Amino acid sequence: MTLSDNELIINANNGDVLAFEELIYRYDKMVLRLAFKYTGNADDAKDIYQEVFIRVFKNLSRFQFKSEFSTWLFRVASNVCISFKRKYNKVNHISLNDDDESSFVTEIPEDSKLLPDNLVVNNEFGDKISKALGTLSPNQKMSFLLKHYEGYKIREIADIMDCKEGTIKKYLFEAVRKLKTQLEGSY
Amino acid sequence: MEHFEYKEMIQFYLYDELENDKKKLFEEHIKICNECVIELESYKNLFAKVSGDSQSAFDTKLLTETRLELRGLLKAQKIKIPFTIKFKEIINSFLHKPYGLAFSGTAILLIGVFVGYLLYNTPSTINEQNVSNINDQLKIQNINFIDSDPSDGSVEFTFDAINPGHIKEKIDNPELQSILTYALLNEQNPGTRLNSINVINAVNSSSMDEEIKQTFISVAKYDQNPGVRREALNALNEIPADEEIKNTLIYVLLNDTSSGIRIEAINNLVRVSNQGISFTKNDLSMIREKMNLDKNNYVRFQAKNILKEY
Repeated sequence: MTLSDNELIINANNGDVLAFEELIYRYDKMVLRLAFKYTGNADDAKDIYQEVFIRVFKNLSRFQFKSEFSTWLFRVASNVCISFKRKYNKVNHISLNDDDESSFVTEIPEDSKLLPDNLVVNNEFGDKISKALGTLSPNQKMSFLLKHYEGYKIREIADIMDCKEGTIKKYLFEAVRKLKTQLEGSY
Repeated sequence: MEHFEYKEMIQFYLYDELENDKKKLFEEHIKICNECVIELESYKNLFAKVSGDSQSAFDTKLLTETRLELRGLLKAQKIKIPFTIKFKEIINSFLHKPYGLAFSGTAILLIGVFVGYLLYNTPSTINEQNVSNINDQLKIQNINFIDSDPSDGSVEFTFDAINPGHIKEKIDNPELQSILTYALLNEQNPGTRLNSINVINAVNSSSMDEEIKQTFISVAKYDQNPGVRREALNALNEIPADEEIKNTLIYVLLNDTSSGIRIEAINNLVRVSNQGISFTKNDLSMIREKMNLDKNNYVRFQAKNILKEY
């Protein structure tokens, strides 16, 4: 019999390591993909993945069952991604102000080391969109990924990112406008 | 509604995130606006491509590798769980059981006893009013100076007795002097004995009592540490000379194995002589012996100088 997320959480909080593993294996692929798409780098994606699940492990006993576990997990993942500092070869210089487009300077990495190495197999459009995602601000990028890659509703994204729905709509609108321009001719 | 407003709706129409009335307005608009239809198709294509990318084949090798690394990290984290959290977890799980209530009562009682112990068994800070009680506690040991500099008129130290104690007092307090005198004879640590001498010696020598003088004499004669013996001799030098001090100096001159201390003793004998304390025949005989036999030239020279006076 398959246990629900909440049952697995209760078991995990009672020291059942297998329950914890089962719980995270339901979602870890999505977290890894989100992290990879967010950073455009497999090593950074792995670091984010580890950080997210260590935080989940440490704080699972504080989960109050007021929201879906997946929402809570993606909130953690979103926070870790947005606050993540690349360890090396930092190529994206991101404005602190999401609305300040004039100060938003981005160098799209030409170095193939920063491109998808072996996470997503042979996807030409995937390479292009990864580069284009690098031009978005952290919040725009996260909103776009949660919407288009994880399939969340705007209301849910607002919950995950702790913003108003109107703010998320603004992020999504700007993100799509930029990507559309950059990917012109590729779709 | 303006045309650009309809254009802004395209994306959210495709998300199916428009409110019903706006959705109907938009659907009416695209029936008559070719530009918005073209734009709608463009968005559809883009979103279809993005959707295709989101469902691309995923390298399971990387996922497996990352999972294995996480498993290792989690094991390390489990080991690192702080004792306080573990303790809390144990208590929480215990309290949920039927005998939790009984345990709670016992725990509160034990905590009460413990708090009582802490309240009534804290190290006492001793002042002039109760310092005399310490004098009765003969087993004072492990004196640790916190402030051994007597120049500001007070010193501070902790000690072990029947109960641990802590003293911050003026150096001329007789009871404090008494404790340090006791420490000078009994403390294992030569540093503490040296500090005790310095503190006692910082008090005007005229106010020193007989007990302190006798202690200095004993230490100068018998302390195992040459530094302490030498400091005791210096302390005796601060006290007005008398027969007893003269005899002590002669004893040290004859018996101490350290030439430095014998030099200190013979110099002090010169000072004693200058203060009008006379030497007996027996004293002179012993000094003569040193003049002839002492290994140290300076000691022999000073012995000769003393004998010249007689």
